[in-house]
Parts: sequence; C-alpha cells; structure tokens
Amino acid sequence: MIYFSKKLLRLVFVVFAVTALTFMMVNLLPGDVAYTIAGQDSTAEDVEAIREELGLNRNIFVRYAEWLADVAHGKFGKSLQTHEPVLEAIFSRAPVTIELMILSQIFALMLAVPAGIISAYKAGTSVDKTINSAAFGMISIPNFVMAILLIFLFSLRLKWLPATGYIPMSDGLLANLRSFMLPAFSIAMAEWVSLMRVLRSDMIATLQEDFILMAKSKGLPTLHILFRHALRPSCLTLITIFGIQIGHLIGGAVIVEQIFALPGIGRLLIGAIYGRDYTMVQGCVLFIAISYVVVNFMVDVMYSVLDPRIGTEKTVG
Amino acid sequence: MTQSPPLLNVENLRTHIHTDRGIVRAVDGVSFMLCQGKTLGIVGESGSGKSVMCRTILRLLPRTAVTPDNSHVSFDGHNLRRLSEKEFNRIRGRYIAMIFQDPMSSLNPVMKVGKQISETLSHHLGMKRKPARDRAMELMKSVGIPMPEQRVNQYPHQLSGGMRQRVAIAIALACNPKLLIADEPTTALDVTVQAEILELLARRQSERNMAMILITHDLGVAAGRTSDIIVMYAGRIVEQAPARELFSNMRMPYTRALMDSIPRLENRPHTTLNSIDGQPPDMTSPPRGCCFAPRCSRVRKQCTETEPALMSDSRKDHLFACWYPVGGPAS
Amino acid sequence: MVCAISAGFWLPEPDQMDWANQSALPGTVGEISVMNSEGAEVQKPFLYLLGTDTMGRDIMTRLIFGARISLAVGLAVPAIGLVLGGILGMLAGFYRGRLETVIMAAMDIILAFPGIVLMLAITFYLGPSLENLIIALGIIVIPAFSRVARANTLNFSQREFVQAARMLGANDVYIIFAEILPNVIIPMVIYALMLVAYMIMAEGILSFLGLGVPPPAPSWGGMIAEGKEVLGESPHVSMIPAFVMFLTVLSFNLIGDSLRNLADTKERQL
Repeated sequence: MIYFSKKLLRLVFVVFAVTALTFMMVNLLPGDVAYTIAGQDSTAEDVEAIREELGLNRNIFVRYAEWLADVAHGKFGKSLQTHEPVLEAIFSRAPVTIELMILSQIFALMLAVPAGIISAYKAGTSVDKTINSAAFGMISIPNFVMAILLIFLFSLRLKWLPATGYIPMSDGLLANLRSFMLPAFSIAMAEWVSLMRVLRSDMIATLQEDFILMAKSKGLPTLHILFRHALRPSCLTLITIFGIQIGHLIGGAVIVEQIFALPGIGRLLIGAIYGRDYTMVQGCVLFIAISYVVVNFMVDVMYSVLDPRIGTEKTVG
Repeated sequence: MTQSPPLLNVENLRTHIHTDRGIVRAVDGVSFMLCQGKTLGIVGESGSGKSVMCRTILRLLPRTAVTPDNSHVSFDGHNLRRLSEKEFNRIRGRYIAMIFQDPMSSLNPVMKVGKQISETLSHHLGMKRKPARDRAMELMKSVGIPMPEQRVNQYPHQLSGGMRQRVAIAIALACNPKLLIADEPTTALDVTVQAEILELLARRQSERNMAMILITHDLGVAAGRTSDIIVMYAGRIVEQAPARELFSNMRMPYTRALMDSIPRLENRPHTTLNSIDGQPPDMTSPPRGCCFAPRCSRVRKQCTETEPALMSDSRKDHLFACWYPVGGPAS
Repeated sequence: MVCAISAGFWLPEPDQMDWANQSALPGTVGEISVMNSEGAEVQKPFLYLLGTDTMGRDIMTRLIFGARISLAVGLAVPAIGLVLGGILGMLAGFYRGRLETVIMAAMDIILAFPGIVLMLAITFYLGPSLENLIIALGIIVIPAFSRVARANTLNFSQREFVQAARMLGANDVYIIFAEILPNVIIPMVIYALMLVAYMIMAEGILSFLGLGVPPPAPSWGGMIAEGKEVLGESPHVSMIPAFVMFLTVLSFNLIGDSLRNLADTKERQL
C-alpha cells in the first residue's frame, strides 16, 4: 500500500513537471515568440496584438497558472494553422494511432513467439544462430528505412499492399486492416527482437525443467509440449517487456504515420511542426507525454499486483 | 522367467554422453530381461547409471547422449532402437510409462493436475474432454486421492508430496501400460508415505499384470517387492539374481556393503552407520580393472588389473562380477 | 564477430570536393554512367560511382559528407551523455539524500517523455541545426547514463577501498575522481558505444523528416527521404544511403555487443 501511494505521488509530481516543461519549451524559441508567430511581414501592431492574446506581457507564473487551468478544463488552445481546437483534433486522431500501436504489437508478437520458441528448442544449432543473426540485423534497420523497404517490396514491386492512405473501419474491416499492414509491420520488425530474445532465454531455462521430461515420457508430441507446457511458464519476462515497449511504439508510430500518411496523432504533430503551429505542437506533446506517464503508471501497478515481489525489490534499489 | 517370452529384452546397452570434459560412459554394457507381471529392482548409488539406463530405454536423453549401434532394446517384439520418433511417441506413455523421483518438479506447475492426467488419455486413447476428465477422476480415486472432484482442478503446489506422486502414478497408469518404470518413486517423500506409495504400486501392478522396473538406491525398498534384482555400479551390472537368492546369498562385496549400510531397527541407538568410503569413479576415464576396487575391502592384485566379467556360480540365474566374491570363489 | 567491424565503416574524408548541382536536368536520375561533367569552369569527366540523386548530385560524395554529420551526432551525443550523465549519476550515488532525490527526479521527468517525441519537441523549439540536434539528443540520453553511473557508484562507494581512501584524508572530489570514476566508467563506455548506433539512427530519423540539419547539407536520412519520391523507378537513390546507414549501425551494434560480451565474461570470472 505504501508503495502504491508513493508511486501515485510520484505520478502527480511528474505530471506537473511535464506540464511545466512543456509550457516552458515555448520560451526556448529564439527571438521573440510573438514576432515569430506573427510572421515576417507583420506590423508592430500585429505583433503587439498577438502578444496581448497570448498574454506574453504578464508574469510567467501567472501565465503558467492560467494555462494550466485552461488545460485542466480541456482548453488546449486553438491551432494556429487550422484554428480548430487542439484537443478535438487530437481526440479525432487518437483512434488511428491506438489501432496502429495495437496492431504493431500484435505483429511483433506473431513474429517473436514462434521465433523464440524455435530458437530456444534448437538452441545452439544453426537454426538458432540464423534467427539470432537475422534479429540482430533487423534492429540495425531504423523503422523508417524498414518502412521504405517494405513499401518498395510490397507496394511497388509486388503491388500487394497500399503504400499510403488510410481507410477507416467504417468503410470495411479488411480494407482498414490492409492500410495498416505495412505501417504496423515497419514498427513490428524492430520490436520483435527484444521480445524474442527474452522469450528465448526464458524458454531455454524452462525446457531444462523436469516436467518437460515428464511430458515427453508421456509420449506427447514435441509441438504440443512446446506450446502447451513450455510456453506459459516462460511468458513472464515477455509480459514485463511489453510495458517498456510502449514508449518505443509511440515514437515509432509518429514516424510511420508520417510516411504512410495515416491520420494519427503523430502525423498531426509532425504537420504542426512543419507548419510552425506552436499551440498544436504544445498540445500534442502535452497530450502524448501525459498519456505516456499515466499508462506507464498503470502498467507498473499491474506488475506489482501480478508479482508481489516487485514491490519489495524496488524499494531496495 | 522362463515360461513366456520376455516383455523387455535389453542387450549390451551402452550410453555415452558427450561433455566438455570428455565422453562419460554412463551406461557401459547392461543386459537383462523382464517378463510380464514381474518386478525388476535396479539398485545402485547415485551416479551408477541406473536412471540413465532407463531413460535410454525410453529415449529420453539429451542430444549429447549417444547409444552405439550394438545395443539392442526390444519391447513386446519391437526393436525400440529402430523406431522413428513419431512411432516411439505412440509407445511412450501408452505401453511404457515412467514415474520420476521428485513429483514437485516433474509435474507442470502451471497446469491443473486433472488436465495433466486427461492429456495422456486424449492423446493416446483419443478420448474427448468430458470422458477424459471423468476417467481422470476415476484414476485419481484409484490411486488413493480423496475427493477427486475437488482435486482435479488444483495445481501441483496445492497438494502434498505424497499426493503429487499419486497424481504422477495416475498419469502413468492412465493408458494401462504394459511396463512401468519407477525411478526412485519414494526418495523425495516422507518415510510414512513411502510404504503407502510402494504398496499402491504393487497393488496396481498385480491387478493389471504389469511389468515394473523399480529403481532405488535403497536395498530396503527393493526387499520384498521385487522378483529380480540388478545391482549397478559405474554403469555396469555387478550382481544380478532373483531377489530372495540375492538377499540370502550376496556375492559381490559392493552388494554386501550396501546391505550393511542400511540402518537397522534392532541396532542399539547411536550405532555408527556403516557407509562405504570413497566416491564412485569418474566415468570419463574409468579405472583399470574392477571399478569398485578402490573402495573394496576385499581388494586383491587381480582386481586392479583385469575387469571381472559377469560369472555365475552353481545357480545359473545368479550372476556377479567379482574375482573374490563373498562366500568363496566362483566354481 | 569482431572482424565484422571493419566492414562497412565509412570514415569521413576531409574532402574538399564540392558537388555540382545538375539542376539543368531536374528530376532525372543518373545511372552508373561514365562520362559526365562537373566542376566550376572546366568540364572534367567524372565517374559517378554510386549514381546520382534526384537533382543529379553524386551520391557517393553526399554519402561521405553525410557521414560526417551522422558520425558527429553518433559520437558527440553519447560523449555528452557520458560526461554529464556520468557526473550527475556519480554525485547522486555518492552523496545520496536530498541531492540524489533531486537529480533522480529531474531524470525521471526527462524520461517521462517518449524519446522521439521529446526529440521532436526540442529540435522544434530550438530550431534546426547541428548543434541544437546534438543538444537535444544529449538531453535525452543523460538520464540513462546517470542511472548507470548511479547504480555503479552505489555499488562501489560501499567498498573498502573508498573508506580506506577517506581515512587517508582524501577529500570527496578526489575520491570521486580517482577511486570511483575508473570503475564506473567502464560500463558507461560500453553503454555509450551501444548508444552510438542508436544515435546514428536517431539522426537519420530526424533528417528523414526534414527536422535535422537543414538542406542542402547532405545527411543520410535526408537522402533517403528524397529518394522516396522516385522509389518506383530508381530505387537506388534511397536504397544506397539506406544500406550504408544499415551497415554503419550494424557495425557499431556489433562493436557494442562484442565489448559487452567481453565485459560480461570478465565479470563472471570475478
């Protein structure tokens, strides 16, 4: 219980810090903020007007407090480009990003689990070494390069899958999934490696256990033993890694959305960056950061529920 | 032993395990026969090769273990060494079953015990879920597990040691095997439970006319429960005889020493236990001559030079490998 | 494994060669052809070893120049992280108490942002340039280094040789630098090397999105991005820089991995 409330306190503190930092970042802009927003051929009055609007003349703490109050009420401001409310824009894009993240993780698992099982079963043989080398190679490929490779192969040469474009689910589930295939795979190709490695080492340990020998003595076929007996006890670290990977997924999603023109939060953010839409950028960063912190927190809590040992171990370290 | 043809016939079995330190000759030329309905006791210290030998029969060895071609194992007329892995899987669990020493580690900790039993039934006998589950409960009852309807859904860690071993026995007996190999089934259990388990095994065996191999390091366990006994040392058979004959007329000094090391109830309290000095030999480079020679109290010059072959005395069914056996030389 | 390091390692040449802008032929992609002109006044025949990109610029030259940027980032950022993160981590681990809580809290805040998002945000606000890029990435890696440093400092500061030094009258600064640093630095260097590969990838990502070093400076990511347009007809414009980047990242990964294995085996003998 103490552990939990400590974590909660930390969470609140971090959230505050995040908001503060995000707010401060605007001040990093070289030169005059108002001037940069107004544009190069604005008059002195325009600049002054913007200054008024953004309240740049007032004390920074006051501004922060006001801004924070706004944010808490869901008023993230308006986009400088499109003048639509930032928060709405984010929410309308969120499902796409979430779907992308879920699909990538599923694909990563689909790749990692069989690979992990096979290379654990055949540990030390050439099959194992091949899988491991392939894995090593794949993490050396950044996800945007992987994306381009996949586009080249599957879209242009083989013409199987669309290179860009998003088809919402309302237009058909299959088409929707098709538009996610390449993007999700681009991300999955890097993620599966850490999952596979962890599963492999856990499996190797499990396969040395006596009950596997017992299962074999029952005359059960090898596949059955691998999947039904050996897999479950080896899953523990795998699930742990899951949580850590969420951060990578978000990052990957941002890039991939841009390349494949999927209308998610990532694309929104990048578009805002290109368009110098400071409000939007701030809103996106804030939203993403806070979601990330909250999700991490929930994952942490879940772990300590699943494995009571973690609570005590962490307080020592 | 001479009426019907033997169920299990092992000839010249050898198992060599490749390790970093060299080739370990875990089993070094073992031959014996076992008939239906009989129990064979295999007695020896840890490291004598008894477990490895039984695993060799069931082909449960790691990839580093190799069995040379001149070893033969035939079961019910089939040459076990020639079968493919798939064919052999049909024999394992169905016609030959095995019970392991430590039921805590040999049962899957994350699978319900009922499932572990019904798994064999589904796989070998093709039973569907519900009938398999019912049969599993019947089996659990027959091995003496109370309230099987409750227990069938529990996990191994929720059961006591004795009950876990009963579950293991239920799993082994599920498909009515012809041969049951019990590898030290009672070593990990309390003394009070040991007798119960051994009784259970004996009862089931006689009910089904099953052949059984009982592996143990304790001669006391083998006494009275086996029809024949093999004593193994350093991967070889050093004495082999029908049980009664062995106990009344031990020839190999090693067997004698094993017998002496059993604590006896009639001894006065605080009597020193007799143990055998020394360690079993390093099987990567076995010594010349008799393997037991370094620890034998009756050792003579010939023992360290030439390895004694199995020889028999007046009784042809009592074999032993010793130059200077207890009770006078072989005639 | 170790010999794979030598493969694919692009060293920056202090090349005075400038690239010619063949804007006379916009959009065409030169094949691996032979005779083509370049240079200021004199038209000299020049061999395009790896072809040209969408604007007719020699890919090979741009690759080499781009390598300078990638390597600058790849080496400078871990260096910054190592120094700053290391100091912070050692201070935290050594002094414990309030200082530690403050430092670790600061690290946690940085870690609260998902890496790439933070990277984007900082470069956005600071403006695109090589220095800003390095600063931004540097900030992101400091927490990891500080964690490594702190963990190791915690480990070592309990040992006897530290207490011995103290009894000999050494002051804190000396202890930190002379006693603890040598032990802490090894795992940090290993981590730094593993990070090099990742930094090269990060630079690639940023320049791919156009948020790294501003054009027309060549960078690998930027080259890949340009090639994306003509992926169908002339894949080599994207593929070649991609392949080079892959090889470089792979080499650094291999270096880091082998070193880590070396270090691990050393520990086991301990």
